[in-house]
Amino acid sequence: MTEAQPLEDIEFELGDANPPLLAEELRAALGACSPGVSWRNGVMRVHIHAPVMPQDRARVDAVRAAHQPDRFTYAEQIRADLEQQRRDHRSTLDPRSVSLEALARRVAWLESELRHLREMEPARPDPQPVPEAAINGERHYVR
Amino acid sequence: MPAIWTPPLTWTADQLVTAGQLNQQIRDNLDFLRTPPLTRFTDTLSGSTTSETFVDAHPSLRRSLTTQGGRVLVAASGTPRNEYAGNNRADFRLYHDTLGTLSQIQVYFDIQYARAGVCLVALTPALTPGLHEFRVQWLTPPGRIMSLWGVWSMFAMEI
Repeated sequence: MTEAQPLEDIEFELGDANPPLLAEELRAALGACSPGVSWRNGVMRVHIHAPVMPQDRARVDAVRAAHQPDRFTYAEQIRADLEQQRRDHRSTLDPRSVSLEALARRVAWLESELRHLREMEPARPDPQPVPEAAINGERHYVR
Repeated sequence: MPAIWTPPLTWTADQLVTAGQLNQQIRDNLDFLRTPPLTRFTDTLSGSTTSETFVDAHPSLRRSLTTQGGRVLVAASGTPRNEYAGNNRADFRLYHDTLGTLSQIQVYFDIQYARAGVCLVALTPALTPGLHEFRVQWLTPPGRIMSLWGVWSMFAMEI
């Protein structure tokens, strides 16, 4: 098996940052020189293909400075929208007085819930879904 | 004080055996077999990664062991959770700096927040006596997020 290029980390305290959002922003800024980030216990580690160059640190600092922790990632936005829709449709419909429009909205919401449960949301253009053909031809489903 | 292993002697007829030899050959070697070098860990862990190449999963899943020339049984288990809003994959491996990948497993998740049990087991060949480090490493496809979740365990034991 081919071993990966050695990695070095740039570490910093997360503070009030939104880690998933910051991870996406760092990924966009660093491109191929970073395979990603890890975080735990309030510390983020930006993995960099060795050696870490001064411009890598400068890019990380620039991303941190521009980071707006109150923004959502794509995943967080999906979750927030889903939870908002659940709150909006919490009431029980009264079959004797429900309007056609209200019924149509409820059906549309149920459809979107089902789509979410079945993992059928419109695919984000990047990254691509994991290919069906897994390594060794074996796939493990987890729900 | 860790038990010391001494390669067994082959006795010859009429050989005079000293107390020191018996202590070394029987007491110390049995003591070693009964209590071999061992490192282990079990606790709730947290941590996340977006790394698409293998990186250490957690400092506690990085165990050091001073061995005396035998093979080492290494195992780790726990539960990763998919943090990405969609399907995802996680690769886990047991890694040794000299031997490389000892064991690897790949798990797929169909939905966000799905969890999976992961168990990695490996038996090394006989290692040179000295300090050895065994690590759990992980990766996830580009743009995805994976987390450690719940209780994780790991041990490494010379056998």
